[in-house]
Amino acid sequence: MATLGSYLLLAAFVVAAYAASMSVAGARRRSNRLIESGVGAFYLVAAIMAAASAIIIHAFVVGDYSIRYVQEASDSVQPLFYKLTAYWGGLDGSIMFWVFMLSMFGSAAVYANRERQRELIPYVVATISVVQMFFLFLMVVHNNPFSTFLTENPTEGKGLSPLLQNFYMAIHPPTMYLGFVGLTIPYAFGMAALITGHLDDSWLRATRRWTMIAWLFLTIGLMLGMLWAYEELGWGGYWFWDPVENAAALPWFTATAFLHSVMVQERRGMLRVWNMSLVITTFFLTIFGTFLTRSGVVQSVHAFGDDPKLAWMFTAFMVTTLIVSFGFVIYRLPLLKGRNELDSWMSREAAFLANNWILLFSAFFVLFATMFPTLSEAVRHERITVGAPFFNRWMLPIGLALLLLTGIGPLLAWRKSTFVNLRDQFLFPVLLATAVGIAVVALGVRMWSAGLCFAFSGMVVGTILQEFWRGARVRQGTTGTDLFTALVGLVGRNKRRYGGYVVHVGVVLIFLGFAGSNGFKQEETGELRPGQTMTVGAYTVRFDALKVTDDGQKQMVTGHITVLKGGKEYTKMYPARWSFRRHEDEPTSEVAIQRSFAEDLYIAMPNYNAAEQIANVRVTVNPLINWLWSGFGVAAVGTGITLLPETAFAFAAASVPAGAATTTLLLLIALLVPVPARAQHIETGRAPNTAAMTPMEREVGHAVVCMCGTCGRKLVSECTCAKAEEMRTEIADLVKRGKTKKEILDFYIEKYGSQQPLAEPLDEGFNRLAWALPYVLGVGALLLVIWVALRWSRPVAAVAGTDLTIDADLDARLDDELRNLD
Amino acid sequence: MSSETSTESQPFEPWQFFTLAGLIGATIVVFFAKGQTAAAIIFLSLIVFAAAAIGFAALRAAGPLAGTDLTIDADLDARLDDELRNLD
Repeated sequence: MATLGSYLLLAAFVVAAYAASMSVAGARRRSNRLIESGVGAFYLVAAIMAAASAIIIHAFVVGDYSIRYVQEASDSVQPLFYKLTAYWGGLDGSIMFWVFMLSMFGSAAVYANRERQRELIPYVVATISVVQMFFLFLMVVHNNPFSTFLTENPTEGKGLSPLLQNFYMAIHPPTMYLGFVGLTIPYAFGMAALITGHLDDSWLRATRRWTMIAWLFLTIGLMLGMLWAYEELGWGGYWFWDPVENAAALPWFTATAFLHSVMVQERRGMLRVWNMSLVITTFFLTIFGTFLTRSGVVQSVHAFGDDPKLAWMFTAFMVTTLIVSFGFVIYRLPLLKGRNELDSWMSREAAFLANNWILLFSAFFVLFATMFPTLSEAVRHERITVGAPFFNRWMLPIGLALLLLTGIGPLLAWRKSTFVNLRDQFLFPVLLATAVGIAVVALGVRMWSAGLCFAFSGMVVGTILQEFWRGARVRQGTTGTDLFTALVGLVGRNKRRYGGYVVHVGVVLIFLGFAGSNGFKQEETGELRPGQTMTVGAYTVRFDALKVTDDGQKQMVTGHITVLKGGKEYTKMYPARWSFRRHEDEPTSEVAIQRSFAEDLYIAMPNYNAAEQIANVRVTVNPLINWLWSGFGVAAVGTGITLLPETAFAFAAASVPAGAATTTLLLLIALLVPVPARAQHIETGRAPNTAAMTPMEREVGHAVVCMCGTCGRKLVSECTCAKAEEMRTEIADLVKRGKTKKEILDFYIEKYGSQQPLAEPLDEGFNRLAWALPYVLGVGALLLVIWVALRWSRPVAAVAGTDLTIDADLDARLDDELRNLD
Repeated sequence: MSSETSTESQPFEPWQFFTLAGLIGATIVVFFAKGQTAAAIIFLSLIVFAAAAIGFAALRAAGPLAGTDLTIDADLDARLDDELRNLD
């Protein structure tokens, strides 16, 4: 089977090369025969990859350890589910899985567009085939998942990494890959449009749905990764700006920017070069993210390992992609000129421009900060750490600005907004934002970022409510239906617009989740013996016992804990540490979580002494964290609405259909099911319990990272590994001896011979670049946006020297049509 | 209400042949697979189905080369465009 698998990969490479060359030859010779043959070969790659995938999964299921990859990623006692998911659990298999997904996604896109986009299809096939060829080449010459042992075959496997034996980690990679490979489709259509010169908006229309589907998968993939980190890593958080997390977020930023700016091109014929550049950049970042995970250029808890040869191959492909893609953009610049100009700075177009500036700044800032340790190592031969505090310093205000813009953008009209228009549109959302802000302050919240977040969220919700209300009322007036039917009819008529607003509701929930879980988190760590208690927030945790069990695959040490709330027993919780066979040095933390919509009670057990029945327990109260997960769900529902076929909700488009109101109500209830309706208590900023750690210890713990080398450089105050515990004890000792924060940081710099133990590089010497570049990037991008906008806003008449009088009626009609466009 | 039942013989489509081949192949594999788990047999069947899909896709790739080429003459294409544009 291994030999058959290897031959299939080789065959897939040859067939992909055939598909690419036949398609291009067919397009150039205008030979339908060659084009059809190329398309057929493109489908053939998908079939071959399906066969190869079935073979490798079969090898995992039967435990064929003669295949090196199977031996490294599975063992005989692994549950069947994780044997199946081991396919993408390692480096070689993940590359193969990537090609399989790309071939399937690509085939579906080509099949769906084969008639409508006849001119583009040959080049779409060629572009995707070239990408497939690159990954197939990697497998054939470097990372063959079917390679076998040359000497004696092992009789048992090493087993999948225990960290990956988690439900979320099992489904996170396929979702991410679907997002990544999905973003190859708009790139392929974009390149086809550039090559053929068919640069009207048809390529955008062909890829709009595919881009949304890819964005949806990428978003869900990010959420699943966060859930995995939250449940498996045991530190109470979900995002710590690890390089691989960042690699997944980078294309998300640019894809989100594209989904917004594409509307400007569709409605106003502007931003054509910009959109093409965004498509190329997004695709490039998907490849770059894969490169980061697999090459070893960055240190990460998720990385597959160090592989310089692979790094060079990826670099060559990425450089070639950039040169060829942007080369075509430059070549086609005359055909990419915009059809309209910016009429006013107070317009929807300007808001989208600002939105794009923020998202692009986020992408490039995260990219730069992620790569800065590698840059520092290359220039100064010193690897430093750029940790969460550095990212948060910038991303917090950026995120708030984006949230504010989410509230402002929909209120602005296309082309221009008059003063009266602005007053009418902004009155309710601004009033709501002010009311929320006052309420939050009255409740005792004194954290500016959280306060602003709540107020801006109020504004976004106000904007969305107003949009739905006004639209439904107008529709009710014209169709004579009840309000609910009018609302559904409204959404059915403008699925993209109102689906987008639902996505914005999800964004608000996500931001509230961020604000709650970061701003009001309470946590405490302590060593408990049976009967001893610890209090965090409203909860008192009593440690009862420590029990050791074994299920053949792993040894499980489980803490039995009773949680008391208001003096009464609230629940029992069981945090654990699991040690898998053959992975005894990688024990996993199995956290216990008591979820409620207001907050999570999260208990981890980083350490224990079974003989003496002592458990090191870490208790965290995470307010509003489930709003974060719900937000992703709502965003997914919103994206689903935008993807609905034209006929969906068609019944509500007619006037007063029988039973429509009832059906509408049922539909609305179905949509609202995932969102619990009970009113929530918002936690106010209570001072954290500092019984075990002094404020100084906490401050230093947030400035120093764990140096164990396996946890991905988490903050010492948050990391749950033994090394972090040792460092916390060391910090407590230094604080007790009267050392200042600076002296403790110097102590660590001296101890490890570099600034690597610091969460943020010191603002001196070469590292000053890390602190200065975000300003340079931000200001530079802002100037660029202003320059572009000024160029657009130059009146055509002044340029052409002719008098172009605009008819007032025509102008009003254009405004109406723009407003009603889906 | 008419049943629209046709008595005319329909040509045997390639996809029907390959689906049938896949089904027969999978049946044979299941029949001969001994001492394997249900999951392993399912994946063996999937391998056979994938092989049938490879056959169908290979035919789809090679088939057009054997047919008549519908090369699009550029002048003809332009004339067709013109005529379509001028049609009332």
